[in-house]
Amino acid sequence: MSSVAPHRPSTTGLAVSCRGLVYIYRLEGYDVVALAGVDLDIAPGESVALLGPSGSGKSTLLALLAGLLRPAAGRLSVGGYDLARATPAELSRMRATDVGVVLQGAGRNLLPYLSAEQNVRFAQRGVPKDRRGDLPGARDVLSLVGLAVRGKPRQRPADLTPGERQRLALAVALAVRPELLLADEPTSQLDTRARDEVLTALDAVRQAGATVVVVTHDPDVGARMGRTVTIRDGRVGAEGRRGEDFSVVGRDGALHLPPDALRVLAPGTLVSVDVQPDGSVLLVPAGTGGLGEAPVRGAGAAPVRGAGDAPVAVSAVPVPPQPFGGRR
Amino acid sequence: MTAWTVMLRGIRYRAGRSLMVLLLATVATTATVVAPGYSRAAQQSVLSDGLRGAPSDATNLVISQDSGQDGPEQSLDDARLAINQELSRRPTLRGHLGPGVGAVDTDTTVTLGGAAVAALFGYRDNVCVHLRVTGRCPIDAGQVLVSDRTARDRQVGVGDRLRVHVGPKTGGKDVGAEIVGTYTPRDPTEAYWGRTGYFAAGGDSAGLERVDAVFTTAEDDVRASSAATVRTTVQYPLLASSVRLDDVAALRADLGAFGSDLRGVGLNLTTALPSVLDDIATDQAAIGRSVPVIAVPLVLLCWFVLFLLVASLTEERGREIALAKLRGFPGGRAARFGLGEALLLIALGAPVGLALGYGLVEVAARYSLAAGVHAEPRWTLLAAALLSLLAAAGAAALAARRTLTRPVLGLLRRVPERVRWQAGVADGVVVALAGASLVAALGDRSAPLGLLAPPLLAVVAGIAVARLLGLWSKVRLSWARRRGHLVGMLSAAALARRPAAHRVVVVVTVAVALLSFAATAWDVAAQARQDRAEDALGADRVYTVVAPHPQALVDAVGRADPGGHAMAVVRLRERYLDGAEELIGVQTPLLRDAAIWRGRSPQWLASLGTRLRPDTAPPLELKGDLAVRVAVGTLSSRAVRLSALVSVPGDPPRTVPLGLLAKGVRDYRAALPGCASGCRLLGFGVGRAGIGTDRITASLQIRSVRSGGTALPTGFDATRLWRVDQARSGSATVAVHPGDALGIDVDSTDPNDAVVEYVDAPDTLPVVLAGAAPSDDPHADAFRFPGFTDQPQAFTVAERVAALPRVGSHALLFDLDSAVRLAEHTAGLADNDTLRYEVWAGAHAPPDLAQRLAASGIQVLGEQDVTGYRNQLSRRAPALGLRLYLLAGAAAILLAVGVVLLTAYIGADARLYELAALRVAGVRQAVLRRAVLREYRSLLGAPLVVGFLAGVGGALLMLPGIPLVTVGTPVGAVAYRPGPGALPVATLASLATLLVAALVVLRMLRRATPDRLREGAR
Repeated sequence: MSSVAPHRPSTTGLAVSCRGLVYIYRLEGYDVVALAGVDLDIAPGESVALLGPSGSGKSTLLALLAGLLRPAAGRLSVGGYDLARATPAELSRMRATDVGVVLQGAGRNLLPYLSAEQNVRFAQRGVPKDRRGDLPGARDVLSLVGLAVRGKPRQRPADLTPGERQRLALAVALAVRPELLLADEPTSQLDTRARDEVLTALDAVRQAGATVVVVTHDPDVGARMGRTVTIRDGRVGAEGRRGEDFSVVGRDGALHLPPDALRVLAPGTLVSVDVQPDGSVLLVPAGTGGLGEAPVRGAGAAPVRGAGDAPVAVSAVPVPPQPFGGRR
Repeated sequence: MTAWTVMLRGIRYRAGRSLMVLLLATVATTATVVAPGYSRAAQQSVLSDGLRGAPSDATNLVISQDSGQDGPEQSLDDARLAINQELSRRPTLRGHLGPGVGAVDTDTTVTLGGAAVAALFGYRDNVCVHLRVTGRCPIDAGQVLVSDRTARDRQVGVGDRLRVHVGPKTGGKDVGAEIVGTYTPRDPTEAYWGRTGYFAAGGDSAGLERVDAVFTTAEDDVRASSAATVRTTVQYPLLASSVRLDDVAALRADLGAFGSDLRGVGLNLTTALPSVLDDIATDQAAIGRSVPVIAVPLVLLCWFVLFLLVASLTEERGREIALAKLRGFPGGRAARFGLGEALLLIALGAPVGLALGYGLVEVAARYSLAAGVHAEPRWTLLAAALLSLLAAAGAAALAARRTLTRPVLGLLRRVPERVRWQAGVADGVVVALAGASLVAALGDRSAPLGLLAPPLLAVVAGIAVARLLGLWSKVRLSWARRRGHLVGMLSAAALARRPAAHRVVVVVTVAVALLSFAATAWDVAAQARQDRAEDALGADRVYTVVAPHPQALVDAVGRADPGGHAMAVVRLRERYLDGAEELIGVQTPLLRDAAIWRGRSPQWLASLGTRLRPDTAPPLELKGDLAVRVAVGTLSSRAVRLSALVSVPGDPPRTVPLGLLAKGVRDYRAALPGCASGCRLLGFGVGRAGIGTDRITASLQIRSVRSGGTALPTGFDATRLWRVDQARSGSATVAVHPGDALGIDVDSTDPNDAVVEYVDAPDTLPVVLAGAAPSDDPHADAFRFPGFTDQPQAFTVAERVAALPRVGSHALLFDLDSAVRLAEHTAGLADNDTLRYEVWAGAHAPPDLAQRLAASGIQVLGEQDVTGYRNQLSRRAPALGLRLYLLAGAAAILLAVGVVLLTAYIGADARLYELAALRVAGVRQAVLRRAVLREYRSLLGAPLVVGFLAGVGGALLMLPGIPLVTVGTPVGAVAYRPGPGALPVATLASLATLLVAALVVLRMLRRATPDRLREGAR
């Protein structure tokens, strides 16, 4: 990316809080549970990448955060909005002023017959008239994603490269200077250079203080986001910090084991959970007769002896700065 | 950037679709505007045609005063003054009247050429302008004009004097006058002459022969005697072209008040204008009722198609609307964004449609309505346009509602929503409503609502076809899946799962049904108009003429048309019971070539002619003189006279004395004045010379009869050719002996002559009887009824028919010559002044027959032909309504084609994406093309067939009850005769347009290349 302008007026960012969030798609003849009790807190200004396999519920979670779906159960708050109870008008107002959304596929975010500049202005038309004076100019928004150069603002989406189109989609989502940016697969179908351009633009948004939540399959994108949340089977399966993955103990005490641990402890295995004096926790499969050899202690170290015949030592991860019950 | 910018750019981006919305909105407004506009123009056309087509003497206003009957006598100037004063208070009436023609006339006895004749003696404004005058026009009192006919018959000329006796025989006054000119009317039928019988020569008045009017330019001459009954008239022609619909009410009111006012000043108003207006109002009311009913289906179809279009367009814009919602647009603003383009286009379509509708009505008025009729810019057109605008906007809002209320994610979904159960309920409601309305319409097919039945039937048929096609497609899909038949599977799947297919089928079925019905109705109506015209005229051309007597007409027609394609017709109306029986004598040998008798072949007509003309002896024609060779055997002492009974055309039978009989063989002669052109020998009389009742006897043999130097074929040897006329012979004993010479024995004390008549006429006249026989037994095959004389004569029924051409269902048609020969034996024929004369001409008769007849001395009063009559009928209310129906049907087909194309184009992106995906998956282009072809074959073929059947079926069902030619008279039975006409053209046009639409769609779907799968590809 050649001309991304990093300057952006700072925002405070919105906090996000999910508690036992459930969403069910009701299809003909059967229901599909897309989210089965998601607990997630995102601090204001934090950048989070939602990872996970296809169909795990990432995009559903993003749609819930955008107020496009209503939770079937659980609590969901975005900034001061209680999305489970908000009226359609409140949700509209939220999207008009506080939350920017980038849909998967750049073209779906843009009106094909408007220029880049006009697309940005169109996105600003949702803001009540009395507040439009505070909005940034279309060129400023485009400059944030590096599109305020050489006639690009006057070009229509079809005339832009895929990377430029995606950045334009990002710009449209940022048109009202939202405090929460939700982006669904913003880098899919892009080549490396275009992807980097988009990521640079996202960095600029993040640095400006907005909370950013990105759904992606791309681990590199996750790595750039600082925090990754892996959704598996409709739940938060793992979290990552600076490239390291951790399982997350849920509010109900549930713990999603990572796939390699599941190879050792097959689903249905009975384990005893022993808390060691040093703070580590041992998972001992039933019938193994005890702990056996001394467990490995230390951060992230877990001795594995083989399925069914050896205790598994799980060291307690040093408590991350992620308390439940973040800003509401 | 404003909302307008977004809207306009969106419209430009979807230029094709936007244009279609604009066009549809325009068509909807046009259709709505055309209804009141065309209705108004058609009513004006009927008014103009009705007033122009009515006889001028019916629409003229004749204001008259008969001196001695209507109060104090007024001079023409006084009458004019009084009339003008009253007219000045009636500006509407005055505005529609031409300049008045004043006239003063009185019945007089005119002595000219030494003989007294009856004549109308009259003054008329500017009379010389309307006469072809030989000599000069009178300029002073004591100067007159006589007709050329009178001058010729009475052997008088310019410079001769005549004496006019004005007033009663005793107490009247003689006016001496000089003939300063002779005249022939330039056009005796022109409105200027009114109803006054100026040219009534040939009749008889109080024992005097009547001659044409004697004109003076001095009113005082006409009023020479105060004892005379002088009729003062001022005749105002109605300016038919100036009467507009808005004037009619005021005109009627003025007429009523004007008549009352005139009575107050001793004047009478005579006019049939109110009756003419009543007749016109019947047609106008029919138009007023039928045109909106005809326009309603088209307007509803327009709105329905607009609904479909906006629904599809809004659905296609679902992603854009989703974006607006995603960006937090409040509900109202998102709706405005989603619907704004359509509403703007609809709003633009309203004025365009208004202008187009106005223009269409103007074009229709110029080319198919009466001359001088134009579209009228009235508030009703504006109101209709506004109504259309509101309704179209409402339809658009309703259409977009479903899309606008969907959530963002629902709008972003690529897969269309499934048809919901509400669609089935809506179909059910429409079918129920249509069914109920259909039953109501069938209950009273003659009501204007009957015209709604076919579209209702079409709607039911359309929904049924759509449903059946859906079910059939599902079955086909299942079958194709099992068999692995890819083409069948793809086509059936496309039909089974697309809601748009349902709409297309309904619209195409309705459109085809509408057009088929309209075309069938038009063809049937055109045939019915032709039939009605032929029935009403009875011949290709009919001339109404004035003739002195039947034989004169026969002779003139023979001279005018030597080829025998025209025939003389004499008509007479006889009152019978509560009604009347029309008697019509025709030249039966010419019936085949001159008459049109619908449903009868020329051979049948020729055969009928033969049956109506009994085999009788030829008449004995006399010319100039008569010479009879008689051998007298015995003779009484009392002088016995021989006379001949001679028929002079137009006169009563004349007894011509041949001389006193003397024994031996002698020639008896007499000159026959007035028989230069031909008389007929009716018989011989033998009687006493002088008066008395003393006995006479005679025995004689008539050996030969000669006339004009030629021996007549007397047929004395035939047994029944000569017979005693007992009715005339009274108590005389008469015997007739046929042989080489005609033997006659007479022994009589009767004061009248004993008469032996020549039998050249049948005793009983064969007739074609229409309706019941005019006798005690309506089914009688023989009856007696007055013929051309007032004496009952015998008729036998040769043929029974329901109705006779031109004369209707209570009529007798017979051979003119036979009827005349029968009538000539009495004075009745010459005395009968109620005979009406016509000439019927076939298609091969000379085109200038009217001029030829005039040259032969026959005055032609009017001419009608089948084409002209049919054209008149084609501007009556039913035809005007059907014309609009046909237009609506054509518009409906265009709408249907539009729907087919729109449905294809609006879903094009998704469809092309699918097809491109199938190609990438390995399906060959040829397979895809065959699948699409098969899909459109079902999509358009089924509704085409069913729509056609529904339209034609609806026509067969409804047309017998619908007035197609004139208001209030349904055709009864549908007589559709296949041939070149609207139905084949409409069917081919429907087929062609739908085929073109299918080909266009196929061409468009060729763009389904793998590139389509790329994001942003269009």
